[in-house]
Amino acid sequence: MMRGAWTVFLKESIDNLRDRRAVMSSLLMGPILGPAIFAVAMTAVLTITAGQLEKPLEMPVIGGEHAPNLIAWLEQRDVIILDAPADPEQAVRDGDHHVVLIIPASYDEQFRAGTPASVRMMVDRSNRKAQANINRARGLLNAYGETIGRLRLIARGVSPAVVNAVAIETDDLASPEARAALILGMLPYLIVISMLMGGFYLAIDTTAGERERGSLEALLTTPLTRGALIGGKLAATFAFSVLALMLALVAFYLVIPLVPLDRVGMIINFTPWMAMQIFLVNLPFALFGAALLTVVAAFTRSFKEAQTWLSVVLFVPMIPTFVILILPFQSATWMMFVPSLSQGALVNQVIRGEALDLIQVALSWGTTLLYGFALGALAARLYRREAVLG
Amino acid sequence: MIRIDGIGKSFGEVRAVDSVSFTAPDGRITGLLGPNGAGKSTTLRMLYTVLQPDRGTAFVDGHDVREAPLGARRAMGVLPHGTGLYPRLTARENIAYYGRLNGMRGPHLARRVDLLVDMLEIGEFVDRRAKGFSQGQRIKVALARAMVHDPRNVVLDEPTNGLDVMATRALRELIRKLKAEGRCILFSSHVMQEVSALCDDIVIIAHGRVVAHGSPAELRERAGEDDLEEVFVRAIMSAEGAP
Repeated sequence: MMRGAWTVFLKESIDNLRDRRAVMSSLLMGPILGPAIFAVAMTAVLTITAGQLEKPLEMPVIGGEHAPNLIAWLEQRDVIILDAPADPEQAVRDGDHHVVLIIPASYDEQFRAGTPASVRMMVDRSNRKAQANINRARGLLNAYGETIGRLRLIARGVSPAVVNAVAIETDDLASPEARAALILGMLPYLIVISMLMGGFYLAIDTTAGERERGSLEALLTTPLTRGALIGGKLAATFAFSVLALMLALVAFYLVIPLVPLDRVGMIINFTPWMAMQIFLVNLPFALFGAALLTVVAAFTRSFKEAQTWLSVVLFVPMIPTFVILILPFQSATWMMFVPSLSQGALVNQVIRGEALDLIQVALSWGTTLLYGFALGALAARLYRREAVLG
Repeated sequence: MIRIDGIGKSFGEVRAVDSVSFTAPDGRITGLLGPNGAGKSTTLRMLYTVLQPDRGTAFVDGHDVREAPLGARRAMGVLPHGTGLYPRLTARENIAYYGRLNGMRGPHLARRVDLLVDMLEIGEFVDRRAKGFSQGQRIKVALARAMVHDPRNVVLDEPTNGLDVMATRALRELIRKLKAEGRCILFSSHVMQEVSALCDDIVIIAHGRVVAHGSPAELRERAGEDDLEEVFVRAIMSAEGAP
């Protein structure tokens, strides 16, 4: 029985390695293209959000001569003070400048009198890209106002603390790694997809393909139990899923350091040990996925029909991924009973650099394997029926 | 030796095979003759254990197909209706795969494949991938695949379908060779000339029953008819007359 299954396994593996289309989709599209798209998308997102924060704020000032101290203070804080454009309103509207600061002639007089000295910011709130710079400019002007205010209170012999009736402090509990993980939330889905893509063509070729080619009936006349037959076919699909998983992890390992996460103050150390943990966490899903694909393909009558149905199966593991996006920092025990959700939650934990709860890992392994074996048994039953010949 | 004993199969309301019994002895070619839909293929499929019989059973060298299907399959080489080869494997790999599934390994298997390549004269294309083979080439490779474990019994379901004259002739030669080696050959056909040219015994099936059984000479004698085709037609007509 084992020898028969091994023979089937070897034949299906060699057969499919010779199929260029199958190899392209199993070992290239899923595991390599996924990480590549991931890296490009992440880099784009990070460059846009981090780009404006990083560059010094450029701000044209009208009437700077009325407030030389303010201008000097801003310049100390790396603000580049520009001459006013000819038509400031138009310049803001066109997005050439995000903020134009206007200091009226009355500033100096009001400042000396100790009454609020008004300055004006000319901005366009509908310009999304300008938001970051508007906030920076407002923050800087507020800070200057507060500093002067405190100095005045001290000069009058009053403690500046009295004006702060409520002191608000924010403890940001997100470690830089945890913040990165939020963005890396799509990683578990890409890993699951790469496994399913890895087994996709084999699952079809070994079942619906074998039937369509007319080679199944002859195969069933060999002295091989149906259990050994489906076992060998499942093992080949499983092996390709595992191969795809390994390739995907290698690809992520190479690609993640290229993503400029440090630009937004995030650190992610994708160590070989983490890759190993992710591999081990996902291993049972490769079996589950292989069995699921094989069962669905075994129900269909032709290669084309199988392709249609299996494409639907590819979207099923997406649903738990939404749960992870909604509850990104939780890995509740109930999640461990749902394949793809349990792997996603555990992978997220690994990426956040948290220690894995071994009971949760055991639950995830156990339940996923259980479903996998149940589906495998179902596939074997399908092959014991006469209708398998179509 | 193949012995079929009251075998029958229904698909829903349709009795595809009512009750078929006959024996195909070693060293002889037994032809299963009947019009399309008479139940030839269903009988053979039950024999080579792809279908489960509802009634009766069959024995291959004493192995009951219901009780010991693996033993029966081991004792039998089968060329089923469709001769699907694996297009990305070479002819040699296709044949060797079946050898391995029959538990053969290493030099023993390689020698056996070489022997079949010589016997079937497929050396010219045996190391080419099966994609794009002609029907004649496919049948030969499928036959080599069925014969790889040197079975005593050979079952062929309409093997000459789709073959041209030369290929049909070559196949007939092969079947005679297998017979000369003392094997039991059972093959089905709906072409009367084919069966009469080749068979030592003829089993005529109509409506899922055996309506006549004997050597060509016996059948002619029994019917008092020189033309075997007339014998065939009459046997079928009589089956249609009976309820």
